[in-house]
Amino acid sequence: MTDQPISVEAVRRVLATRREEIVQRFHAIGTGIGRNGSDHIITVYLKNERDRPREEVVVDGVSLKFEVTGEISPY
Amino acid sequence: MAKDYSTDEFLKSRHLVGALKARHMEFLGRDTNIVGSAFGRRIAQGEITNELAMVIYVAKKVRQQFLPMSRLLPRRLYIGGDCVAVDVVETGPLYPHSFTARERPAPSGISGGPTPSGGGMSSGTMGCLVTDLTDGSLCILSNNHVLANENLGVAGDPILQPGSFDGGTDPADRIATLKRFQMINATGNTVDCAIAQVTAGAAALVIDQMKNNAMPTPTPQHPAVGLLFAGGCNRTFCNPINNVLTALNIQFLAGAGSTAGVSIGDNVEKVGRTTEYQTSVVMEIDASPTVNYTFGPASFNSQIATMWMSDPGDSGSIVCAGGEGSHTDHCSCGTSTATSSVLGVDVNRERLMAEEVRDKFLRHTKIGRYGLDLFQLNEERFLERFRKTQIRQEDRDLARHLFNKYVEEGRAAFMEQDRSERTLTEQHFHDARTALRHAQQYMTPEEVKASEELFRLAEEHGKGRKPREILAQLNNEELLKRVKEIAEPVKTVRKDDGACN
Repeated sequence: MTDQPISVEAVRRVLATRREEIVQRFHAIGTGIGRNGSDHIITVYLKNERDRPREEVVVDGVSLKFEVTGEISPY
Repeated sequence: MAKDYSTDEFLKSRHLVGALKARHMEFLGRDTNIVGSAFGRRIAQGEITNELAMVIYVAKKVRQQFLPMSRLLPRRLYIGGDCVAVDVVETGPLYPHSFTARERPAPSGISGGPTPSGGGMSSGTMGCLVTDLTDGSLCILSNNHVLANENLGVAGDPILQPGSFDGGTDPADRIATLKRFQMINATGNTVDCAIAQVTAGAAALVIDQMKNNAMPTPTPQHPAVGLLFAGGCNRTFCNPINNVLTALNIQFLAGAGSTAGVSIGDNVEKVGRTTEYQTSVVMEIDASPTVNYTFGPASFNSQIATMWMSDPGDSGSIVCAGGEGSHTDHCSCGTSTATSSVLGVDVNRERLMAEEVRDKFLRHTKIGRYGLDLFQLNEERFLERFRKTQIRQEDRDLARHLFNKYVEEGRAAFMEQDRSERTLTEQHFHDARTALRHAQQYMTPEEVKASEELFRLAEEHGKGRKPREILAQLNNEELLKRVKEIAEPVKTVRKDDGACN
């Protein structure tokens, strides 16, 4: 670990290789790059509350934040 | 608890307010900040009081020290030997509900869509006017799923304002014809967009401004950042605007340079058919959501995700940089609105407390998570049922009585959180039993049976227990199994992603 904030580019690199795995593991309906303080994080969109993990999840040094959005529909 | 007025007392107060409105009409009409007045109950610190009052609606509440004497509103008005309280309520500017109405020339941000196809009616938002760079024609920008019915449209299809869902008919309300759209595929999408060319007589049909001038149209000073197309209860998704302009080969009327990129935390604003003007905050970039279209799921890349700022019918809205920003979450808003309508009080503060309890405690327990999922899956259907149900006055009175009885205790328990030494008492269950008996009048026999069993389970495992002990019970695997067994046979409750069983 370094003291450098986690950059958008670093998160993009993680998503490029691990996104599919994250989506399948948490039955996610999407992902995005969010921010927690100075660090960038991966936001994982969930349809159901039951898919939210109970423990903190970190993938390749990047934290995952879970948001239950319900179904995403065209508006 | 609200005071019951005699008919005479009520009528007298109403008459007095009517007389005061007539007497002060000139003053009320002169102040442009005053947008209306009414007879009602005074609201103090968010609570409806017993005091009947003349309610004055203002566009914006202004602190007393900043108002000239001539514009100060009195706390009370006197008429004859009587006096009436004055309550000032900030409503914002009042507009007719015309974002769904026919308007010529038609501004942007209002209802539009194709003729009904396949028996369906539709309405979305006419985002804004653009120039088609292939021929210089004037076009309306919106989504594929708004103007082209999810890939099914054909160039030349009539586009109506308002959309057919809002009563638009062809040819009377035809304003444009579908020109072209970007196909939506199962994967690999970045845009859901289309344009419709304004038909002959363009000058009289459309105008380059947003409805009610709620925000400016895109310019270099007020750049567009996205095209709104989808959402969930706490996120709204937008296509990056530059991808939209490139895909359709168009530009805004103010020319190139009327667009900008976004960063996380930026404020944005939009005007749309359903939720009209809304401002929000960018929460995520590079979002890759899977959107549930009528033809099936379609995944998108490189999207902008904001907090909630739209509902169905807002699709096609242009999202621009600006606004105050907002972190509104509508995941349980419908339920709190329904609760408010039964109780006749604003439960917004209680909603926020409930959300904190949900996030901090309930979702960390097995039964809590199961319940939250059932709630989320069924909320819309239950709200629909609620809207069609006539709630009897005696049931409303009981709900209000119990709310008033327990609201303070609830708030105190909330402050103490899981450190609380309070316990669930015999009296709590007695009152809950009374409430359940009233609620069961609106349930199916299956629901009544399940509610009885759940109540007995709650009584057995909750009575005499403190909050932290109850949370432990909610995490009990055996209890979860029992709750599922009770809920499973109830056909009106959806259990997973499938239809009701």
